[in-house]
Amino acid sequence: MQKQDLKKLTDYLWEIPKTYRAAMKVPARIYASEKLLEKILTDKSLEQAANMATLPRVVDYALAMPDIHQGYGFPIGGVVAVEEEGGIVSPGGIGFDINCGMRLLALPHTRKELSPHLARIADGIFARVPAGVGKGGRLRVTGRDLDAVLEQGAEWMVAHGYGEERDLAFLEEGGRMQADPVTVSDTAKKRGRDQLGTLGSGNHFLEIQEVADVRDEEAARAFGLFAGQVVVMIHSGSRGLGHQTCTDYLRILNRKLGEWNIALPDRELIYAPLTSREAQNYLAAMAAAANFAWANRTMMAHLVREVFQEVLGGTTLDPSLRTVYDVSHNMAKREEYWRDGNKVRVLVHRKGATRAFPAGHPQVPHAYRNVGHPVLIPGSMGTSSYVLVGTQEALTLSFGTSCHGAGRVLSRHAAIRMVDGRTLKDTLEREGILIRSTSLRGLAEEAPLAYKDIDEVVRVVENAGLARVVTRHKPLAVIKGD
Amino acid sequence: MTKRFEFFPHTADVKFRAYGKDLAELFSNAVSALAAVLGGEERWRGRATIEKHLVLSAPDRETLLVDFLSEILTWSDAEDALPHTVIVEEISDTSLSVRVSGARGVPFTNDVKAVTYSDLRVEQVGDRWEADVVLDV
Repeated sequence: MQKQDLKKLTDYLWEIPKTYRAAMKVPARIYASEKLLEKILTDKSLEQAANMATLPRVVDYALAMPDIHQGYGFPIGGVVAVEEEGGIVSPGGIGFDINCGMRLLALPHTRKELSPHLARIADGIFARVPAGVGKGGRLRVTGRDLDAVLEQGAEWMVAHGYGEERDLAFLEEGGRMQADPVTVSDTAKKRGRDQLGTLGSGNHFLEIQEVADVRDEEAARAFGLFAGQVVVMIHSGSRGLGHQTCTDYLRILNRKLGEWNIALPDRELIYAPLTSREAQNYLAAMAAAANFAWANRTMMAHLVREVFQEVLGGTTLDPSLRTVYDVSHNMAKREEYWRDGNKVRVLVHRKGATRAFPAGHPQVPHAYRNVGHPVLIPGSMGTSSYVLVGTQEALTLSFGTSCHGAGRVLSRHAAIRMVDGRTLKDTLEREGILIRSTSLRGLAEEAPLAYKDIDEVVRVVENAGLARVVTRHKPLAVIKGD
Repeated sequence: MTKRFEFFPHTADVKFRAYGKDLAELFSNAVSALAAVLGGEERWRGRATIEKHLVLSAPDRETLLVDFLSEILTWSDAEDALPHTVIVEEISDTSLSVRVSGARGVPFTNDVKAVTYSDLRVEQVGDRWEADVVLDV
């Protein structure tokens, strides 16, 4: 694909017309600036956006967020809503890391107040939360207990003393979706049994941040955020259990291709009709894996709370961390939207894209109902992270969806060739950011230059009218695995 | 020495191309490529070994390769074993019977989430076989 194949609708919105390819049933729309588009055109992500538009029953358009980059079948940053009636579900539209997402916690203190204790807290979290390849957690859950976690998600954790009851209202779906553990394979359960409370590797991380900028005073107040405040962001997903679940269902669906007589521009777009048993089983398994991820983030939040308690216990500081919100960026959701005066029931696939519901939406926690729910956007390492809030227009423009982060531009291989992990660590630490990582090579792979410019991505989302910035955060300490 | 596999640039993940004089060698070298990504191909000597016998069938060659590598990935994750030796007992376009040995306790360097169908290719080029596979890391 080349730039001339695109139609510029506004400075922040481009369209691939459905005439670009015969199989496209709707156009594809990409939210991006001219600047971001240059990078986007260097990989296959726009071809994949066109591919998304070939799926049956897509409502409006296939959509892409400004942090779009190449994925499997669907690009990362892809959003596709299909009508429930006659519609489909495609596991590639959710991704291997089912319910990869973010949690934000807030401390009632400023960076200045916390600074004498910051290093000890970073060390404590690094020691307490397993991060990196193959690192198992201290909580091993098997058999009926694991099935209970898959069914109850964050609720199970709270019931067993690993979280607070009042956290639940501030998690998307209350941290628990309707799921059926029987649809998750034994292999997937085996992979997940000792991974609760573990961070994982790659671009997963835990960050202690400072609220550097408050751009929307009213929303920040509603979220309980203030300038200079210390917050904690956790980025993680469903670990091996989720990956295996996606693999399992792609395999099952691949064997039904002939029977369902489906023609695909890309094998990875494989889908199941929603009326099929396979689709229902996938959605139940996806929900179970999602529950596992919510349980996982809840457990990690608990471990982080333990560390703050231990380090700040003897001081005059209040160590309590309040859950601000938890939101997914790899998920499929049954939602309803108004189109031409009619209510349309859809299944929205969001892969590397975050839900952003505005004020008044019934799925926004009661405490945030006048504002909308927080949209948690992690920056790449060493750069800003953001909290946004969705607009009413986004419900029409993008099925209430925003970006999820910065999006990669350089391969891991290229990143480690260009960046020395030790030099990167020293540079970040000179900027006042504490780094606790299990691997220098892992740091290099996640170097900021391997990613798009998060400030630009967020600027596009805001100017396109999808969401607005509430706060901008800067990192104080980064904890990650390899 | 003939190249067993090599890696290609890919934005977010890892893409490799494996080579072989026949399907058996191709599939074996694909496992070596996967093991190389997991980390530390050379660090397995002297460690305890475990074995797995895999019997699979699939509608086509490409699916067979992905399913095969997926099974090995899952096994390596669940058993904490780095695969190092592959003995192909039988293989065709649609089925295989293979014994894999792995070394226990080798610390992995990379977390491979899954073997994908992305850019997947298994075909004969001249007198040798080639396979392209993308791993989600």
